[in-house]
Amino acid sequence: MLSIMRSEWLRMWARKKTKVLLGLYLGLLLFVCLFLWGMGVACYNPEHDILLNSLRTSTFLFRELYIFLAFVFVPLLAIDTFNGEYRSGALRMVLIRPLDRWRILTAKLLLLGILLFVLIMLTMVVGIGLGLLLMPKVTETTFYQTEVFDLVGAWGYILQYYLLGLLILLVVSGVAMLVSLLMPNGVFAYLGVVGFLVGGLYFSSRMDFLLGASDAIFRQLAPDPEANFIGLSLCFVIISVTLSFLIWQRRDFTA
Amino acid sequence: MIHLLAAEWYRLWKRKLIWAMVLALPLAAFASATYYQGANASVSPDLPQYAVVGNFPVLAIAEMIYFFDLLLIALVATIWTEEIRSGQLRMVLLRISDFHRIWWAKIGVLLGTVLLLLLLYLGCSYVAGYFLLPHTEQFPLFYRAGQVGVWEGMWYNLQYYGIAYLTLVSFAGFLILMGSICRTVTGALGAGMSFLLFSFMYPYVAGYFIPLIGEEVYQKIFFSSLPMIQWEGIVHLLSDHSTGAGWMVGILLLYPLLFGLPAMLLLSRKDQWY
Repeated sequence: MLSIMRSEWLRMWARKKTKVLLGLYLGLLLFVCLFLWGMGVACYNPEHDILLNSLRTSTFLFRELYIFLAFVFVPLLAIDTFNGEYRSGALRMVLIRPLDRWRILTAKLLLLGILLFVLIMLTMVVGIGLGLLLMPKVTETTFYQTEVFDLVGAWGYILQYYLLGLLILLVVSGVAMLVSLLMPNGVFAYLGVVGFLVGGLYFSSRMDFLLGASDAIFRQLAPDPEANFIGLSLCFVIISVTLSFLIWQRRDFTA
Repeated sequence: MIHLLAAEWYRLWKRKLIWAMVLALPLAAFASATYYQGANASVSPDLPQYAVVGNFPVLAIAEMIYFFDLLLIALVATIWTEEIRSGQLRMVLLRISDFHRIWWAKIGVLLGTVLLLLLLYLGCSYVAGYFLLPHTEQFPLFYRAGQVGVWEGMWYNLQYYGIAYLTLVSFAGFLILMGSICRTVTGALGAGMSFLLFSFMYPYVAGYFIPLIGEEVYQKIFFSSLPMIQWEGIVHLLSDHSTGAGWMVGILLLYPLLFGLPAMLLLSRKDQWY
């Protein structure tokens, strides 16, 4: 399994796009850091502004970066691994080897998950560092409608926040994977993902966590949760992964 | 040339993608009309935001113009990037001597298709409005004194769609450059989308620097971004006291010149027979 993942890893970085995307992300991260440092204020949602301090800063990095992650980074990465390889013929070369197909899909999935995990954790750590080094020092803080946290409590909150953020990104990548397996044309697949992200809102207001991820996470983490998207997100992840495995196993890739 | 144009046109319209777009337009118009049906309940009928048959096309496009941006990104990725990369372009190149002619044929087809889609959407939004929204003799327009009748309102709608079309043409300038450089369809899509997000972001960031740069410069920065022109600029241009019209028209011209011209030079010099 490890060597399949290694092979996937190598092919992922062989694409120049992956590097460009990562570079863009890191550039944006730096820019958002400078921006938050310069402004000193941020907001939980359009109605609630707050002053930044050394403990609560980290959450706002994800808030600003989410749109780029959900609309550009994750869909492109997913479409490239599942759809791009199929179209370019690279997948056949992979499937020539005597491997179970589900292993290859599992490797792709794990790799995407790990990459997102690392990226999210990196963002969190950068945010915590930014807060401690450059923001006004405090010993305790509050978040959206929460009680007062000390240093460790605040870190616990931030960790929960980022894990929920990761969950939402996993929903996006799961759906992107499913769509790109269903639609062989990359353009279609991308429009499908964007349609899912935006169009979900037309079906039910419970889907608003896909567009305003950060607002929804803050509401979810309030002591009296005003939103609940965890169950829905897990459903999305499980359904899209299951369907993807079914499609992947049955499709005739060598035709 | 006319044959080349026809060939490009057929090649585009035999794709499922374009038919999916055509089918999506009435759906989008009806979805939007249903939305405004609900929104009307909380809006006074004296405001231009109150949707009636006559002004609904403008409200509908104001909401869906970003959908058209997306369609444009998808179209350019298909007509340019995919044809270059899949080798289809070589088949076309076998038949003609001058590369520029393909280039202009492609541009003609792209702009024609976008115009057709916009007009179709205009028609759909009138139909959707006719069935779902209140009918009134007179209705107000944004930033304009007095009320207008149905025919005057239609002329306003046409002007609005015309300017919206120009912003899309301008955006196409950038996309064509990206579509020619990027080696894969996903790359072209990502570049287009990143440009769109960036154009949303920088006016917002500039908003924080108003005390430093002054209101006038801020307005210029704000309206140097295409999505912002689409969002607020068009109604400003069509208002009684239109301000900054010259600036916006200049910006709309600048994008195709700045990006479209290099794209043409780049693509026509590149060896397509590698």
